[in-house]
Amino acid sequence: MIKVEHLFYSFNDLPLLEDLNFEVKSSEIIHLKGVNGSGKSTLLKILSGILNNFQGKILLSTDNVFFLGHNLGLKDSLTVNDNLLLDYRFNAEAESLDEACNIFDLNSLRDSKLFSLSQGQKKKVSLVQFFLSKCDLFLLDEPFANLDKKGIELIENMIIDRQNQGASIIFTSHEEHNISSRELIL
Amino acid sequence: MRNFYFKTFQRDSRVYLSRSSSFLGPIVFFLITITLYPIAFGSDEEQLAELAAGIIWISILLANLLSHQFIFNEDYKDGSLDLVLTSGKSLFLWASIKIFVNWYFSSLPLIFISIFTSFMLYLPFDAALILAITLFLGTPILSMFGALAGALTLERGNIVGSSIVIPLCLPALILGILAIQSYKNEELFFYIFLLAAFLFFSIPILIASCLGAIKLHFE
Repeated sequence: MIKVEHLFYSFNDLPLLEDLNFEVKSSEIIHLKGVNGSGKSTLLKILSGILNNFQGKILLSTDNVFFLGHNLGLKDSLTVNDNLLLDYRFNAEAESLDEACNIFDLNSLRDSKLFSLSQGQKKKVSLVQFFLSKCDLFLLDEPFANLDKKGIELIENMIIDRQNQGASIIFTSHEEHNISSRELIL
Repeated sequence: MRNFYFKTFQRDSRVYLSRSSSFLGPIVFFLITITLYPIAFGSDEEQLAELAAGIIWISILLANLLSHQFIFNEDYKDGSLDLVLTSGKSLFLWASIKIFVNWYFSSLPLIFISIFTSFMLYLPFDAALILAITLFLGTPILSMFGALAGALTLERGNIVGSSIVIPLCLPALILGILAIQSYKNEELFFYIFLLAAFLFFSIPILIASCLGAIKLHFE
């Protein structure tokens, strides 16, 4: 699925990623760990194609990639419904949208503008996008941040579901999660 | 099927409509500016008619500055731009749609309003028609330069962007004003042709420059 060879990346002339080598196979869940500023988010941005000025080789067998970053890509001035219906990564049918919003307890908030939601609720909206997207590779930067215990369990189950469907998942988190196939420490 | 580009158009349109300040701001600013000129210069019909083309074009340029920050800046801050970069879709087409939506909501209403306000400045009817043509050709150029300034200053404020836009827009402004002032002469067609050519060549060059400027922020 992914093969990274001799990856180097510098930010403001300071080396951030140095000679990184790893491989991710299909249906693997990788927990990316490291201290703050170790380059976890940067690595996900490189793998997703957002950052291109790296040295080394990255082989990706798919271009069907879902990326969830620190900034969620949601529009504060739009409603939850509009944010979901106008996401280009999936064509949400009314039924699947109902189901997804029900799972995340968002049905009562669907007509609310995003700016009126808490950080945790906004995170849930972006996780509905994750739930509705059918991709081969999911790159999730801190997917458990701002979520309660129930939300964390829900995401863990969703990640396992995606794995069972043949997708690979790389996520970053400072907490321990026993869902990963292996850990990658930066 | 509603694809990436159509959804970009819909999403941006709804963002503009949901945030009235983004399209009402330039209109209110334009109306206030246009009303101030007759107060400053007096109500002499001939003098105002002579200055009308310049007054309207400058007011439109200044009003446009208020909306340029909305083109790419918000997408950069809220992470939407990251998602676009991972989409693998044509960024050129995506940027074109975003600039078109900005023009549609901030410049198009100003074109119609400026025709009515031109009569307030005693601009003859024939000249008002030429004004409309020059604005239809010129305002997309202003939007594209605005987009370029916005793309260059994603992490900075609107003032830096404005100081970049104004000098770059001067050729379009001068051609537009000259065309209106020569509405009775044959030179009119020459200026209109130059403005149309300016627009034609600006589209690929300025949109590609916008993308280049955006990519600078991801290095």
